[in-house]
Amino acid sequence: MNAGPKAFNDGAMERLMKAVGRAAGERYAKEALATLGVRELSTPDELLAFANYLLRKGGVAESVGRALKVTAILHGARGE
Amino acid sequence: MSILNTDYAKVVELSERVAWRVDDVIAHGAALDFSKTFMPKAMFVADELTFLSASEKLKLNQIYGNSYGYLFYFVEAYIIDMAMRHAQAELYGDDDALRAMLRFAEEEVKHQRLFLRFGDMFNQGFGTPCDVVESPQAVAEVILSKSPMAVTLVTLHLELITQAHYVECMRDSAEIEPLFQSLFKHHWMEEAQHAKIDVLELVKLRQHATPEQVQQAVDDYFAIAGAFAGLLANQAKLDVVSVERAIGRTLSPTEREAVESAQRRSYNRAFLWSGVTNTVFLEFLAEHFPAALAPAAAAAAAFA
Repeated sequence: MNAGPKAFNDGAMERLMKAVGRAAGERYAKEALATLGVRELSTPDELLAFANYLLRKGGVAESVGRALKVTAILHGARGE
Repeated sequence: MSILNTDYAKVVELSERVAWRVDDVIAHGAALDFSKTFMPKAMFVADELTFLSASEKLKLNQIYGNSYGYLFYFVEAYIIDMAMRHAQAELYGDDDALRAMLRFAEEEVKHQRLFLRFGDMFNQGFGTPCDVVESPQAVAEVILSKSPMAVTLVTLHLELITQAHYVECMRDSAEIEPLFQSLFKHHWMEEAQHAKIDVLELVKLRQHATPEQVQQAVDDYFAIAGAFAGLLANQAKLDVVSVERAIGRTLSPTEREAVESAQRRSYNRAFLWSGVTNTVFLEFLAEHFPAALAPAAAAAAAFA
């Protein structure tokens, strides 16, 4: 994932779509962003919260969530 | 700087080209030549000690060679963990980066196998037991509790020193035990690729880091270096016991102190000074972590 605030959002969305397909990915993203109360992901902590949301979904989304959680932690997320 | 002019796909390609098997380096049944030195003279401070005979210095040199190999086995425990975390972070992302990280982790596990095989071979042929510092997992836990950027910086430091030691001190030496020399040649071939991956990962992490995160990484890097110095000092103490056992005589307190001090200096110069004075490492710090340059100069003086 390239760095930069926009990159957090774009990288996470690209990976989610790649893993679960566009339709399901957009649905998950919409639900997650609404739950988090943000329009897009711009900090490691927001990425971590997004990842945690996906982790609760199970299946491939959970797997993406696990990968994004590690990405967020590597970038300094401290949430939870 | 050449290691900056790369990408994950090129690293994977090179990694595939230089890959080797443990059996290619140390075949089953191979034996070390204990009439030879293991560590190059330039890295062996105790060579200056006048109260040790030539054969006693040879024993101490070999003890140092065993510990030197073991210490790489030791640090690879945390590097494998780090590489797996970075690989996990690339799942569903950049496939080249994922392949590079997975190869990195796999090669580090392979290096551990190689160093274990070397250790077995050493223990079979040396004649007396040699003590080494324990608990690589505990040390891995301490290192991995630090900032991910600091952990990757320490890894880059270590990958670069393995290259410097081999290229500057081991490659052209006719005196070094040939199997030991070959082991570090093969280690260097793969670590050269790992250093490039460290740089790519660090640039990625650094780009979006806050100034506070960057400062934390610098502080953590030097904290890890300080802790590592403590570990090396412990290894130097153990070497005194090992050499007395190997040469079959008890050294005087002054001689013991001199051996310990010389060994500590050899380890500090090899594992710490060699990193904080490495040109490539300093160039990288200047570009991405300039706040690390002044403490690096202080560390260089302390570990010289």
